[in-house]
Amino acid sequence: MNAQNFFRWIVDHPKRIIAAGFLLIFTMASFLPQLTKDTRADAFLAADNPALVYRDKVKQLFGLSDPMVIAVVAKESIFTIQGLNTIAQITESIAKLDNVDPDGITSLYSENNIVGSYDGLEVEPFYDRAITEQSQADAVRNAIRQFPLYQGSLVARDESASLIVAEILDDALVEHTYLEILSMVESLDLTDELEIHIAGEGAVAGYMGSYIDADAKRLNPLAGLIITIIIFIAFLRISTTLMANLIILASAVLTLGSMAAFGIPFYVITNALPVILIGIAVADSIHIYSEYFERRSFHPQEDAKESVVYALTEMWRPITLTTLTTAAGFLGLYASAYMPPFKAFGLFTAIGVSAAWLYSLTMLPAVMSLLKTEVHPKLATKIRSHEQDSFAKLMMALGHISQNYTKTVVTISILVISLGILATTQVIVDEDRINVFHPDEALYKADHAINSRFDGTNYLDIVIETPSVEGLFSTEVLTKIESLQVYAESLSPVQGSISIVDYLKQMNRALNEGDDKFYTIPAENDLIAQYFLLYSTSSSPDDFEEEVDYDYQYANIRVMLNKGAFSQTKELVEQLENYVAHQFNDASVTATITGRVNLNYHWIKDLGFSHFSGMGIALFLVWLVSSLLFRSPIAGMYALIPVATSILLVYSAMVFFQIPLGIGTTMFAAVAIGLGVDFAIHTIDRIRSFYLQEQSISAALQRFYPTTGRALFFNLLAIALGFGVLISSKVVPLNNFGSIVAIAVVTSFLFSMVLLPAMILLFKPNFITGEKSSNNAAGILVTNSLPTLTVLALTLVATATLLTSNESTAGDIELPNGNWVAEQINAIDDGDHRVNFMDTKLTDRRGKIRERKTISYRKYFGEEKRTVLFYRSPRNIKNTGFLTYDYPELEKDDDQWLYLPALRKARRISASDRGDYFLGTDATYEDIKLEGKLSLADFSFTSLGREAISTEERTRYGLADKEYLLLEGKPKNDDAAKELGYGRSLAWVDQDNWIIIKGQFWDVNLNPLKDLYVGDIRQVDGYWTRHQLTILNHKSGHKTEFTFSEVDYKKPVKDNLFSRQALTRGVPK
Amino acid sequence: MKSIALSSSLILLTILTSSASLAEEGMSFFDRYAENFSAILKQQTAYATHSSAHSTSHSSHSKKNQWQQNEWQLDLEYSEAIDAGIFSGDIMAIARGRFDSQDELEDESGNTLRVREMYWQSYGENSFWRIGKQQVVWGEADGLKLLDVINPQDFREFILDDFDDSRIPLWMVNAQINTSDSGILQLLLIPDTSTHTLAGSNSTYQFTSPMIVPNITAESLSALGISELVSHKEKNAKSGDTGLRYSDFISLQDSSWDITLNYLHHYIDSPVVSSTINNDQLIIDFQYEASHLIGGSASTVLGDISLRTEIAYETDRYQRSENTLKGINVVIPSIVKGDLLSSVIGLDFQGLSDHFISMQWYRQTLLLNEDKLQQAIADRDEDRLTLLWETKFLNETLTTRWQHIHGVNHGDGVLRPKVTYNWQSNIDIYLGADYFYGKTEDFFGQFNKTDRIVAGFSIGL
Repeated sequence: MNAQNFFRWIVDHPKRIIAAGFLLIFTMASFLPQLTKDTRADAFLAADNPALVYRDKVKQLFGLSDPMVIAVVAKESIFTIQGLNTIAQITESIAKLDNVDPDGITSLYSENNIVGSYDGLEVEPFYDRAITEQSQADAVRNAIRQFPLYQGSLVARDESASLIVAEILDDALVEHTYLEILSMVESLDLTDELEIHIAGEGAVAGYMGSYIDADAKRLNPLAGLIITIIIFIAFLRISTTLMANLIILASAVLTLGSMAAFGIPFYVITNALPVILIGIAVADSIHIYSEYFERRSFHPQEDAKESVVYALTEMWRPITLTTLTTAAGFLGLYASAYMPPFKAFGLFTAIGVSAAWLYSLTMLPAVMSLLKTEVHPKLATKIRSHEQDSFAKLMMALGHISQNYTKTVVTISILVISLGILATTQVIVDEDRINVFHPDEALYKADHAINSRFDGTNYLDIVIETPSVEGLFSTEVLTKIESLQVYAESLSPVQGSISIVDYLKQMNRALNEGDDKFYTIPAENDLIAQYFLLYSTSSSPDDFEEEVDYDYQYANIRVMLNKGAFSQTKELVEQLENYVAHQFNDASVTATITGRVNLNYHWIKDLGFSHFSGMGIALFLVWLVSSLLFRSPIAGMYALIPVATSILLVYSAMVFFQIPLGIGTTMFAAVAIGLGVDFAIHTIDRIRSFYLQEQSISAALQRFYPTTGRALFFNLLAIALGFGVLISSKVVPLNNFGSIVAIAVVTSFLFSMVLLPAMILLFKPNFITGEKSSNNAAGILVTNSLPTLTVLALTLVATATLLTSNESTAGDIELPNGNWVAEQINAIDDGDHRVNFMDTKLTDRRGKIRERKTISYRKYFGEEKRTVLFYRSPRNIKNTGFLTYDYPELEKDDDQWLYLPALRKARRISASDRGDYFLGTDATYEDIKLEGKLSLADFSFTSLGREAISTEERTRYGLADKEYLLLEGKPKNDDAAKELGYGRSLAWVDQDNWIIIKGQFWDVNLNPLKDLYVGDIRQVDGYWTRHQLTILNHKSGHKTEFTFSEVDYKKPVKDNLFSRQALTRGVPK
Repeated sequence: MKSIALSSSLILLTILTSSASLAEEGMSFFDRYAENFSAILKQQTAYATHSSAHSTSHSSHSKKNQWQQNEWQLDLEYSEAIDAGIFSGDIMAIARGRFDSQDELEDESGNTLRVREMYWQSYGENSFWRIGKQQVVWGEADGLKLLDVINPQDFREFILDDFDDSRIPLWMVNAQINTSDSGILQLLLIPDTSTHTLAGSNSTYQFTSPMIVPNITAESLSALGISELVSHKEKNAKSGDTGLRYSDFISLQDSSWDITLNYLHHYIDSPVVSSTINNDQLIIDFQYEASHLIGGSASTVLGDISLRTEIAYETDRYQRSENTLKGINVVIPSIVKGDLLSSVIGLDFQGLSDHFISMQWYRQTLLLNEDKLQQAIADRDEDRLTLLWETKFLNETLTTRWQHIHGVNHGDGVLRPKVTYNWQSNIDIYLGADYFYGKTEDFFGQFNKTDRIVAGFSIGL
């Protein structure tokens, strides 16, 4: 079937196409409610990024997160009755909020003063009730003056302000918490003397969501309106504007619906996606309508359907080309980006572009054939008379420049390119999350207000690890910590730091009658332990839970910075890492840098490389596609030149205006390539086509400018104004992004209109002059057939996929090979047969519990394993049975049956969905089948190291205090990942008995999925047996606890128990 | 009454013989026996959504109220392992009490208290025996009965009741012998001649379709000069049934099949209704006729789809027909005898997580000569399609179910949406509806005025 027949079929069966088109839209729209939002900074890091993983560990150890920081600022001194009472009131109110850790609030009202007394230490709050007299406030002030630790951190050094820091429990709910705090603060009755500011990473993440939403709500309709106006001006018909909007709608819904269907959240940067889609999706409609109306102008008697067929036959190839090249650009971004939001952005924009293409070539002609819109008489007259409107005249003017000043144009372009290359080397990479917000925003002002008065709202944590419990009771270790703090405070932009050492020094001084000479670390190890003991008699041992862990094995140093930009903190992080590498990390003590600033460092440091590699990949892919489609690598180069030049021009502008390359702007290159190359493709394609007819480049250009050039101009207007809308965005990076993409696209257009024709005139390349013509009117490209283009598209995707393959970590050479470890685990003898009772306790996220009791039998028949399980209670499901035959051959699916007592029948069930959850539990069918073993067929394993389990987990699950081998599992291919539902796993393996005692699982998008804990592991009849399994599902908040009892490997189990008929007999007695 | 007495004695005997040992063990009666008892309490309330009842041409039954049912059903189960030499095994008894305060279903059984099931079972080395009152289910079809004809059914609620509840257990010997690793031969000897329990006259689910019950109009009677209707009802079938089934699991290279071959000699559980004229009397005979059933089933899994097939060939089946009496232009109900071939193909799709989608195509073919076919009321080929879609949410605590049975020939059918929530471990609550459509003379359409909303719960104890 050739293209003409295809489009003819469409116009002959429009209703089917339209119905199918709407069905697809509605189907994808049905996924939209599932779309979730993720504005966390952590979303920018892949879940397995070591920095993020470690930060989460620290969170667990110390309960530290990205806190909300509330500053109470007075005109002169905060130590007034109202000032202190306001602090108290806020502290108490915040403690009541659901998502705030009541033990994680630090304020003057919550913290304790440490003073010496006759008996020892007195640990008392600075104040614990409302202040009624100024003398009380003065007492607090004096106490703070004696407590250097809090100066700069809790109280401004000029005593004009104080901070309340609140640790958040659940990052996902931080937006709601931020709004609650805002409203609580607004309800306070304050005088003019006091101001309240809310800042901190918690506030930033909290506000970001609603800030960006408000922005999007304004921008998207605005972009849509502008596009609609442009289309109307171009064609003077309402129906064309409606159709353009329909294509946009389809593109947007399919894209966002796909995101929702795949569980990809809406990230901060995804806000730019709809605007981009609006610009791109409309381009195809413009070209098709342009061709259609031109045809109608010259053939008014022709049946409208035939005109539609003609227009589509002419335009489908260039439209497809530009879709492929645009998609190539975005797939380049997908390939090179290491941050999930960018990967998602690249991939789903490519999907959106493809959706627009699909609807432009199917739905659009279908509707056009029904509407049979006539060309507006004014437009028709203009076209027929070859009269040029102002737009065509403008294009002709560009043509005039190109043709008459050929060499000048080329020379200037070379100059621009050279300057651009120079500028590229000067581009700065920088990112500061607060700069997302406009300087007028309250949050921005709050951030500045706090950072100018205090040690800072930007945190870096350094975790000190000692090898054993109470390892911190060592003057040597504490002295190292102190030295590290001193060193850190000497670096910019560090303003202060807090660690357990500061508290110890305070205690030491307090116990030595407040003599400043004793503001030092206690001289003896025993003394350190005694001080803590003494402290605990006067106060709660929880007071230091943010500085040390329960066993005094780990300590945290929190370093405060008053600047958060990458450029300002990069050197600090590197210097600290260098210090730590030399001064720590030996047998007695190790230190690891973590915290928000460190996370940002890791996040941004590869940005520059990623940006340039992404751009390189996008350019390569575009060149490849263009070359293949034009059958000429030179043509591919020509297609690239305008867009590459425009990017270099943008770099020059960024250097000149000091716009850094950051999160918001890094994407611009791939986007600009994807959008800008369309002009070059259309230009080359149409010039070639006209040349075939005119046999003269000049004549071809004469035809080109008023027709295709005019259409391209409207194309440009649509895109440039669409992006121009972003200039009005309040989200600063989006603002920058919009501006530079608009500049890139405009310059790409200009270079396509001026430079390309100039080069063609000058060099007369073969791909314009030397191609054989085909029978089709616009058949420059040999690739008439859809299959070829499909292959090309697939090649594109394959290339992108290849480029995203990850390298695996080398691992410690002392560690055993991961797959070998897996083999040891699988080789554990689990007995020829086994009977056990199993109690299952299912707890949903609201705490509701359901219990089930089962009995199960398992027996090996050679290598084939058969298992049968019967429910014994509750009565409603008693006698429900599940039988499975687990075959050793990989290619043979297991056979499974489910007996339902209500039906009195055993039903065959499909075993191909191994990743489905087993009978309402959080274990999958595969998990149940494996019984603690690993699937080497589906996963490859790597040993990552050795790690101990936390005290809490050891206590809860009765595990030994030792190190376990950490084994990482990754699916061997996407099919395995999709089928099993796991994108990654981590297992803690006891090398003494090769039992996995703990597991963590991530879903296919590498979001944390569930944790597994194994407890009560002991031998029964000589076989190591797990008696307790707990699975926590992070996505659903559901928990499953399996308890195995009366495990018996000796009691004979009859073969005939494992048959379908036996299932129907119910629980064997 | 007899069964209650028998079962009570058996239970008492068991308890007494073991009570002696209790004293020695120092356990109380309750401690010892609590684990042997379990119960399930079900409640269902149904609200009819049509204002007029399912009224028949014979009755001027007008509807009193909308509430159709407020039924409480308690099944008390007792099970005990017994150690008695060759009689070692387990005994099981289920007693059922049912009470419906609305009583709109007005069936013969009404409010009941009876032993539902009671049997002794034992595993031999290569055999399994279950002797007593029990249910045996054959076949692969869901919601349709081809091979599942061993136990008769209680039609007080048509097919709306769970089959497990509506199936009538029979006294029988059920022996299963392993013929190989996977092959089992089952023998059924069923002396119990109980038959279907039909919904009573003037009850909501009384059969009125002429496809099932004869339709005798007053005009016909008058034209024939009939002044009296006489019924001869045979209470039960004459003698018991015998069944044989071979089942096996065949594992091939790329697939595996569950297959059965079935034979049943039985008396059809619904009576054959024929009529004869004797002077001015129309004598209506209700007879239970015997039939041979030969059939089989097979099921396998192909990827995400389970395939189920079932076929049954029945001899000596009687179909409702209409005859015109010679010389008199009056149609009287009659019967024709022939064989019946039924088959079902079912596909269960489990490719979507938490969804179960099942479709079945059922065909019944009357094997009658042309003449008899003309007379038969039913079509030669009767097709039905069924759709079941179950979706589970919230770790399988919430289940939505959509069941649709559609008769292709006449465009009638029934829709049964239902939502069930497992509120506690042992408590399920549900809400559903039953909606019939089609013409009143059709199988499902005859109940098109009995649409209802149902709600209920079950508690396991």
